[in-house]
Amino acid sequence: MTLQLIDFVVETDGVDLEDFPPDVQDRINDELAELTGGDGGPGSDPDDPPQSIIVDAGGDGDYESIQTAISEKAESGDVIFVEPGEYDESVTVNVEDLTLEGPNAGIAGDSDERGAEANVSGYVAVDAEQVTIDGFAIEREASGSLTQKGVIQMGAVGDSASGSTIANNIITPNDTNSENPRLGGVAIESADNVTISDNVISPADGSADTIGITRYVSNIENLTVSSNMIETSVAISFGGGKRSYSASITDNEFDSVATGITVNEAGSLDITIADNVFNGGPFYVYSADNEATREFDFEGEKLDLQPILDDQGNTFNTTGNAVITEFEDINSSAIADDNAL
Amino acid sequence: MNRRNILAAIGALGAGGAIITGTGAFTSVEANRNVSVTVEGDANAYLSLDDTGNANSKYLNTNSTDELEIDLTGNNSTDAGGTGVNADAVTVIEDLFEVRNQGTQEVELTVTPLTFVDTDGANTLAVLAVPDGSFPTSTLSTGNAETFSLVVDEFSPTDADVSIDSEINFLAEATE
Repeated sequence: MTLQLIDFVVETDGVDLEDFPPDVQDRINDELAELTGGDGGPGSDPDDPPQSIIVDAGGDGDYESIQTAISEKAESGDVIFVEPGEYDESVTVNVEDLTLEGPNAGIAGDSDERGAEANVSGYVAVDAEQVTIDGFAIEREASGSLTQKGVIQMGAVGDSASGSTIANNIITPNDTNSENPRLGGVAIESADNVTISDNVISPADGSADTIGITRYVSNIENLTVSSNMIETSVAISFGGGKRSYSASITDNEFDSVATGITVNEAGSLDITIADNVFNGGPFYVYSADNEATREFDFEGEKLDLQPILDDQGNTFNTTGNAVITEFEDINSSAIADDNAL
Repeated sequence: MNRRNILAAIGALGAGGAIITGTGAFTSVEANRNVSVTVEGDANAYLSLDDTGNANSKYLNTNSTDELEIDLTGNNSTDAGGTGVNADAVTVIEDLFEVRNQGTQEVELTVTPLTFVDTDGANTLAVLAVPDGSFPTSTLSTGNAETFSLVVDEFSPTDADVSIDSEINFLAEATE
């Protein structure tokens, strides 16, 4: 009988392997190997064990800078724990299967249980697959750069961020000087199987229009957006072109002053929008034809609004009635508050 | 900071038979006879919870109701003055206690939880109860015992407050 930590974890409700830093996993497995016979367990490859790396702006960790920790130390499978403090830096994650764990990891962005934050002033670019960003407060100021897309940027051309997770963060796009129209909270460029959950995406006070979650020019497959609070001008916007999009958008709360979700006509759409709460408005879900965007001239798929309005458990907090309104001149339609039209 | 406190009370067979559950595990008696039930301390109960007779028994306490406790805190200092596990270290206490079937039937023993963990950022305190025989359950014929060791890992790269004060439950059910 050679036991490993994972054997104990699977037998214990409410405990996950992620509760144990890699260093702890390693040495517990070593001890279990001695107690129960055999070699060490998961993550205990003696030649290249996963590491726990501590970043503390106050100087009590292995590094004071997140980026320095990534550049100088991090390897695949590692966990970088970031202590509360001010981190005036942008971060590029180019290490596969790396976890950045802030002090509020596992605690939803809108939870009263959040404690002191690790405040990152800059962008976070995820340029590797299977990366997790969990438990931070991240604010990016618009600079006017044409390459600027989001506070968190998922992937880039040639650098897939597929399989990555953005969870339990407070994400603040800041365009108070109107330098970068529609700066995104999370911008997806080249990433499938991405999960965005339990975040708050809210613009800085006085900011020009921002978008909560947006795409750039790539296909997006199997995007999961769940349990987020999004308060940007437009909460989610994607689709368009001859590209392919599939997404599950569930259990979110949208409080947007313009439009909740905009989905542009695209080559292929497989979108589930269910069990969300839409506040604000006047438009909640907008299905845009190519003629509206004038981006491409071809017949693709458009979002079917009727089931979103009637059958999928969405709540529309209107002042009047939630109805589907047609924009015949541009062949588009939207779920809207008829009292605000 | 209280990161070194570990107190896991091993549940006893109290007056209500709490903690150790599973009716019919040992004896089932129906009417027309007098039934006398005596509640014993852990060491003498039908499911015995006791130390293994080695030096590690010092890490166990027996409370006022004869319930066994694992106590790795300053409340249970060793004769040499030790009051807790080391910080940033893994501590193994081999063969700390045993669970013995002193009933009349073969039983399957299930211990829950086998893992305790408290985290605060990167700081972690973890305790594993590791059986010496089979995992995750043990089949104990009458008179046989399962022995448990403890693995305690304390990881505290930063200042934090982690501690564990919990209970471990033992469920013994007759296999037939």
